[in-house]
Amino acid sequence: MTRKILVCLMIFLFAWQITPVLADDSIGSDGNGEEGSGNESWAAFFQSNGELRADVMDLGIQSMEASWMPDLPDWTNIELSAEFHTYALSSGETVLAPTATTLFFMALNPRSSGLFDSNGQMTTGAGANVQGAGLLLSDEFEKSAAGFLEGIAKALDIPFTKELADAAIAGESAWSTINFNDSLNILSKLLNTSLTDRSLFTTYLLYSQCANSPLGCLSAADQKRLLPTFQPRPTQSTQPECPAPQVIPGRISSTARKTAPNYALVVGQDPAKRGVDLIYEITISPTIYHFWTLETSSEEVCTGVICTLVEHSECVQHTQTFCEPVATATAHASLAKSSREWIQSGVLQELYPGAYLHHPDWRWTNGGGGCNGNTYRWQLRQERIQTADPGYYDMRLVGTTSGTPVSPSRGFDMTPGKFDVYLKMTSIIQ
Amino acid sequence: MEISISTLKKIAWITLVVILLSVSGFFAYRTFFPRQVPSVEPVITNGQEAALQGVQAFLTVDFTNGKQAWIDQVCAVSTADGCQAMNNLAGMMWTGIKNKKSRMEYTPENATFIREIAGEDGQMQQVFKVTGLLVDLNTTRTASGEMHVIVEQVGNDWSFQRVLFEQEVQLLQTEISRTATAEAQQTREPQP
Repeated sequence: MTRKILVCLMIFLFAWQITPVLADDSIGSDGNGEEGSGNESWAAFFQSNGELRADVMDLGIQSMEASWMPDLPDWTNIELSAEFHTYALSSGETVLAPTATTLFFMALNPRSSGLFDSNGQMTTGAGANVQGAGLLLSDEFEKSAAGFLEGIAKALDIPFTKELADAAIAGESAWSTINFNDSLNILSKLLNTSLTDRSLFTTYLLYSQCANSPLGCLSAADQKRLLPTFQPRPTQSTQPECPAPQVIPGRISSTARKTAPNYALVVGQDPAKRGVDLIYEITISPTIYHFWTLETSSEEVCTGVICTLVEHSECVQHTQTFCEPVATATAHASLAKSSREWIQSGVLQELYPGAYLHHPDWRWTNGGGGCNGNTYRWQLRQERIQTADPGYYDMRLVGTTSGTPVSPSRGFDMTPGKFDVYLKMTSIIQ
Repeated sequence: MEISISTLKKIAWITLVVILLSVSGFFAYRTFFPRQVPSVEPVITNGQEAALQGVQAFLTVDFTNGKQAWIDQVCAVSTADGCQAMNNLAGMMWTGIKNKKSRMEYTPENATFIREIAGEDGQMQQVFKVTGLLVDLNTTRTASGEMHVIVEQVGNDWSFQRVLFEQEVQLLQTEISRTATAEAQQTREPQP
């Protein structure tokens, strides 16, 4: 299975790089050569590197009902259409690349299908079989039409006897030259492989006049209608460029407050040693990750029997969210500068000469948290803190996050709150 | 009661005569009347259900559901190869289905065994002729006919492979009639 996929992928990749093997002009309507068109005609369509020329209209996959395609019973009301990837010049020159299945039935009916009316045939270097066929198509064309048909069969890796080719060339029912089991094997081989994928084209048929092609010429109205939908061959430059991925880090917010008591006393004035209860909280909102993928969809646009497969490429936005946890967090409580001055050199120093700072800075690291959805919540509760210095304390949180799969670790340093500790003072009324 | 020897002899003789008459009568009948062996076609039903399911999935199609839904529906009852074939064929058929805005429902009625063949990879395959009723859901018109399909044995089960094209059915019928003619000629030839 893996091997099959690999082979198909290689064929597809090679087929995409159209490499003209040989433009042949020897097969005319009678199989012996008619209108010459040589390499110049191919050059009008393809550059030397195999890319389509800019002025070539890529009409996409065109479908047409064809009498030479196999039939299902009439009562089913289902018909098989022939399919060609079609390229055209404004001059009327047309190149058709039939799908593998269409090509097979063209080979069975080379005259009625217009295969012999092509002014040149080219194969792509797509894998061993097709390369082999390329040699056959280039060398055998000039020798015989049968060789040409056998070359196509070889390109499709399908047994195709000389009797079958002769009958097809003679305009007889090629089906009659094979038995049921053989036809079953041939068609199963053709249909049961991904060689018949609609995106794989191995043979290109040049029609110097569109009227000779199986599809005929597009009417002016059709051209006008189809022109806006012409899609150049998908290349990097023609595809819309999707925006670069975008990471929106989640907001880091925090709160900190005293929970009890309402009026905390310095421990030296509190016989119950109640102390202060504090709570610190950090919330980190989800990190949002936007990225875009190029997605291609196709739509068949039909006018009468002519259908064009129009491909649309668009950048589709995708969004993912991630939880960003706290890696380290330290909660601090520090006596405010103004309070320190008040104690050391301010009013308090005047009232209590020699007053000093006992324990102005506190720190704790025993918090914890978790993701709730993609929002991270961290909390630290500290109870009965025996504050000895009166004044205002700044409540500070310092730490780092772990980052997310799409964003690096971040640091934070926030002062979300403050609390007060009181000193009872006696005033002497003068 | 006493049975005499002469009575026993009589019974033995009568029995012998009856046996001889029966045997000679049987051979006389075989000699003067040709042997009539009823020709009973083998009724092979191994892949019958797969054939019925396959045609139902293939012919029940609604353009409003999209091509992929149709492919998925067929693939659900198909072998891997059959699913690949459907993927390859669907694109060629879908243009017409979409243009005609086809909405059809098929109810299979009967699947008749036609032939068993060994596939290229050695799997057993069977060809069935399926009949049933096709209803055009847009107009409620009905249609019916024969659809030949091939089914394949996968392990102990049978799954749908694909429908046969008319050209293949013609080849099959030609071969069947040729075989029947050859057999008829053989039976008419005098026995040595």
